[in-house]
Amino acid sequence: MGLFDPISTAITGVDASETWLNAVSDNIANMNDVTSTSQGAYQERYVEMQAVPGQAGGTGSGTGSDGAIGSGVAVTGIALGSPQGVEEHDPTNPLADKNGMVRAANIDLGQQMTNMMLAQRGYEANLATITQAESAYQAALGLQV
Amino acid sequence: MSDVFGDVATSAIYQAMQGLWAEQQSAANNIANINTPNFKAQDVDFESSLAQAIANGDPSQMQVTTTPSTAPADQIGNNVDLASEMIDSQKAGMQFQTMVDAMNAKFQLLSTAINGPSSAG
Repeated sequence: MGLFDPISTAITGVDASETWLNAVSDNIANMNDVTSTSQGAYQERYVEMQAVPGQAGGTGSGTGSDGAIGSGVAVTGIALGSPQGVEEHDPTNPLADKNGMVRAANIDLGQQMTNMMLAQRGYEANLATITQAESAYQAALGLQV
Repeated sequence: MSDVFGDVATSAIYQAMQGLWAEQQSAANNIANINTPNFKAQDVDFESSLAQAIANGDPSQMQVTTTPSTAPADQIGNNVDLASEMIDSQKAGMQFQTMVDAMNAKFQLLSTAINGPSSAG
């Protein structure tokens, strides 16, 4: 049992949520990107997350059916969506090919807004955990002989 | 046990604090993984083990047990229920505070026994 375990666990959640928010804002910022059809479109950023298993010999290990209590979440990578995008007809665009087509990013704004809400909710929930753990520490500091 | 500082009551309170701390840790971990695909929430139980250990006269035999939650999972295979995790965390926090109060009361008794009532505060 580490002294500040719940707080460091919650911080991993805050970090992961923040990374997701960064990815979402990158996606939204680039949703109107246009390139020529010979190039790939902006690729949507996906954040890959994985639970961090608890340490062997940690709290709850050896007695439960799924081992020790985990120690939070880790961002394991950023996956990129398809560079296919959508071809749009825009002959006045200087990037347009001989058929007047350009390649635009294929970002679903509704999906991005939903992801943003999920990431924000995760961020807030982890902050609430930190507040909660802090008051438990305050209680422990009230031990006196 | 004849040890005045390691009697069953003190040991039981200490073990309960350990168990409640594990519940806090577990709630923190579940909340941190609220958006992790295929993550299954962990439930912590120590109360039944502590009751058994106290009945046997040695609370330090308590074991903290974690089991995966069987709650239904959402589209991404995650079954963390934020509301119940927040409630568990708050509950464990209040119980922890109660254990601190109990430990303080225990220390107060010892202090009275050692110093007499006048200096017991």
